[in-house]
Formats: sequence, structure tokens, C-alpha cells
Amino acid sequence: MQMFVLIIALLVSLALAWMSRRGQTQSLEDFLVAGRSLGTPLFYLLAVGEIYSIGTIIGFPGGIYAGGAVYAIWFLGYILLAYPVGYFINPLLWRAGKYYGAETGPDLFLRHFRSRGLMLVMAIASLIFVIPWGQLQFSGLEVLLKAFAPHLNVTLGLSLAGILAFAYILIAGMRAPAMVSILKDTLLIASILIVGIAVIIIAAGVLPIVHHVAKANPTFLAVPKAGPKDAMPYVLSTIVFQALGFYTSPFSIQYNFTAKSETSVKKAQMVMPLYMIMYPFLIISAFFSLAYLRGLNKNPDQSFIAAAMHVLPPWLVGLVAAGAALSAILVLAGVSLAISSIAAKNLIRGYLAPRATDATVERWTKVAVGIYLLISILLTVLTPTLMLNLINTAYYGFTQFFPGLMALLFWRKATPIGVGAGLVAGDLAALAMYFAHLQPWGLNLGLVALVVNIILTAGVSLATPGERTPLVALKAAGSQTQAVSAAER
Amino acid sequence: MNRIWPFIIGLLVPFFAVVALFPWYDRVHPLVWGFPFLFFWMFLWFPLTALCLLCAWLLERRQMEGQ
Repeated sequence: MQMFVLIIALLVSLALAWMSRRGQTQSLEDFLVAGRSLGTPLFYLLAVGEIYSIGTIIGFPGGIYAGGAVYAIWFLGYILLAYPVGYFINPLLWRAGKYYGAETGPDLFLRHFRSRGLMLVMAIASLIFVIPWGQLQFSGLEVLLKAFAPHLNVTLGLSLAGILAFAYILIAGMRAPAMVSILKDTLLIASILIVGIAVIIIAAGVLPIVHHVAKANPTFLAVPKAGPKDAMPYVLSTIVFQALGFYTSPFSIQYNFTAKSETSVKKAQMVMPLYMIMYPFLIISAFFSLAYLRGLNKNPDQSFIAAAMHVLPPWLVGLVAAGAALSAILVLAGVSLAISSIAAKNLIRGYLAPRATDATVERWTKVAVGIYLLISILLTVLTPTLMLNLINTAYYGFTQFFPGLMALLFWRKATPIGVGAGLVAGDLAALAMYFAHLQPWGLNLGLVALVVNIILTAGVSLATPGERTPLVALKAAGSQTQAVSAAER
Repeated sequence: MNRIWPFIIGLLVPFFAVVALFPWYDRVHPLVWGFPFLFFWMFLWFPLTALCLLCAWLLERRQMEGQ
């Protein structure tokens, strides 16, 4: 029954993807950034559709089950504060995208700094750090598979999900995830509300659940501020670090370009925090598992599904699973599209084989996406990790794009060598600390790497000659696209 | 001078409430609607952040019309 409901929902989502083809033209701009034509409502749906992934519905309760308030507060804090950051920088990034006719982050760097080397560095860093993001989605799908189809081979199940994600973008490019978001978000919000309300009814209120958690895990209800478990530096540094990087991930930059205007971007950004009103229901479901469902410690990420199966009839559990599965597949589709555009435009066309035909580029792009999905699946199966930790890993890289983008927007003296040196040093510092298991001063290691990045970006830029007009100082309202693409030919 | 206000209300106020006030609001009691206080504080700032952004938006619009 559960599987039946799940499969029906996936079929409906494919139909929606097909419907989104209406009004589409054949251009690359349409395929990659929906022709920069999405008004506030559809743009908002695409944005929230990609933000609230399976990391929210499966990973977030799992983090609470494993670590209590420490995980809950950094997660809520960074998403919440990302919205004000986005309100101020996203319209400027959109303007930069329009001005330079850019479809990807590396495009922006190529055309602003006129440096193919910087574009290449940015493209490679993008491709590396979207891997943990893919792994996050597949880890969530693995939880669902183990709960609902324990006899199905995990690698096979995950591969099928990967193929479905790829199918969405082959059908309609970036328009497909925007359309499928409608179904996915309805299911996701409904699932969270239903499970949350059901556990509150069964436990006779929020208070009994919280009291139970207080008895079983007394340190889980607040963040320890002193002693050996002091987590305050970690929580606060993670909130700030990830809020800055939220909109500078390779795929977020690209989603931002799909908007119709700066005003659509701002309006969508204003409403974003209201979407978070579902979180109390998710938190109470996690507390419910923590209080009453013991023995998930080996795989805490199962806590939400375990709560759902405990309190709901099978067909409703099927709907919950469909919402969760769709949210993962949708994000995989969006990320695959971002990867394929970076691989096609920046890596292959821009560097490896500038003279390749369209057909060749398209073939290699599909190969790149296939490799990406495969690596993510293999890492998921071979190195099981708590889902929220994968979010951290991805951000170690995402936020390192922040200084370069700020330089592009605001700083006249930034040079390509400076921005490139900062980015490479930031990424290497983050990776070194990550693999050496260092956590300097109890802070998020990414923030320490970001400081290295900023110092090098500024220092090397000042030491090297050259100036370029930052975006905010550009008076000409017109687009430079024509001139740029002519020059590139 | 006026151009700085949307920035203060839209960006600095939410950051102050969530980051700077953390040592103060990181506590279990009083429970609100059954939730520990720090969770309630976070929940409170979902709508309040939206409100801050709305204020920033209105201020920016007024400035543009004034020019």
C-alpha cells in the first residue's frame, strides 16, 4: 500500500514535469535558467522547493535525535538568517547575471574578471562541493528505502531515483523542478503537519513529550554553554558561516537567475521566513521519537519515518514517504542541471574543448551528471554519515564563494589572482582541517577557512595591479551580453 | 544616512536577535506552549524576520519615490 501511493505520486510528478514544457523555447537560456522569466510565485516555489530538501524532513529530525538542541538551533538559525542576507545580495547577484548574460557562477567570474583561469577554479570547486549535497539527498532516500523496501538492493533503488531526477531535467530543464515543486511542497508540508499533529494528539500535548525528553536526555533541550560540552562557539559560528553561504552555492546562484526581475527576487525573499512555520511540528515529531521510540541510535536519521509509521495508517505513511522522496529527487534534478551547465559551458566549452560541437558538449554534459550521481550514490552506500553533518561538509565549500562574489559586487580593486588565491586557499584550508578532524577554538572550521580566504583575497588583490568597475557602480542600465558574447567568439 | 536604515532593520536586527542574544535566550525555562524557551525564541523570529524585511522593503520604496 505504501509503495503503491509512493509510485502514484512519482508518476504524477513526471506528468507535472511534462506540463511545464508549455511556453518553453529551445534556447539554452530557457533550459538553464528558465529564460529568466519566472515571476514571484513560481520563482518562490522553485526556491523553497530546492531549499527544503530531504535534509529538512528526514535529516533535521535525525540531527535532533542524535544531538538535541545543538543541531536544532544551528539548523534553524542558519536558514532563518540566510533570508535577510539573500534579501540584500540576491537582487545584486541577479543584476550581475543579467548584465553579464551569465547562467552559472563561473560565468559571472569569467565575464567580470575576464579570466578563464578564475572561471576554471570556480567551476572545479563547484563540482567538488556539490558532491556532499548529492550524498545528502541519497542518504535520505536510503532511509526511505530501508523502511519501505528492505528487500530492494539499495544501490539499485538509489540509481532509479537518480535516473528519475535526470529525467525531469531532460524533459523540461529548469522549468521542471519549478513545476514539480508544487506537488512536492504540498506533500512535504502536509506530511510534516500531519505527523506533528498526530504525535501531539497521541502524547496528549507538547508538554508530556518535552518532559519525557528532559528525563531521558536532560542536556538535549538547550545548548550547553559551559564545561566540556560547551557548544556555543560551534552553534554561533555555524549559523553565521552557513547563512553567508546559503545563496552562494553553485546551484543557488543559478536558481536566482531564473527570476524575472530584481523585484521578484526581493518579494520572494521577504516571504521566505514564513515558510519556516512548519518547523515546530518537525521538532515535536523528533522529540516524540526521542522520548518514546528507543533504539534508533544506530541510525538516528530514521526518527521521522519511525514516528510516522508509529502514528499513521499505511496509506498516509505512503504519502509522507512520497513527499520526502520527491523533495530529494527534485533537489537532485536542480543540482544536476547546475552541474551540467557548469560542466558544459565552463569546463568543456570554456576550457577543455572550445571548438566542440553542440552534440559533443551535450554528450559530455550527460556523462558529467552521470558521474556526479554515481559518486554521490557510492559515497552514500560506502560511508554512512549523519545527514546534518553532510550539510556542514557541503557548506565548507559553498561559503568560500562568498568573498569573490562580494568583490565582484562591491570592490573596485579586486583582481582575478586575488579572488582565485583566496578561493583556493579557503577550500584547501577547509579540506585540510576537515580531514585532520581539527576544530580550531571550537568554531566551525569553515569559518576559519573563510577568514583565510578573505585575507588572501584582499591581500593579493592589493598586491596585484588592475581595477574593474564593481557591479554596484555600473551606471549603464543596458546589458553587456551582446558585446561579451561577440568578443568570446 | 537614510539609505542605511533598511539595512539595519532588515539585516542587523535579525542577526542581533539570533546571534548576539544567544547567551540570554539559550535556556529551557520558561516553557512556552510546552517548548523550551530557546525553541520558542527561534519560532518567534520566523514571522519577526519577515516583518523586518517588509519594513526594509517599505523604507526602500519610500526612498525610491522620494528621489
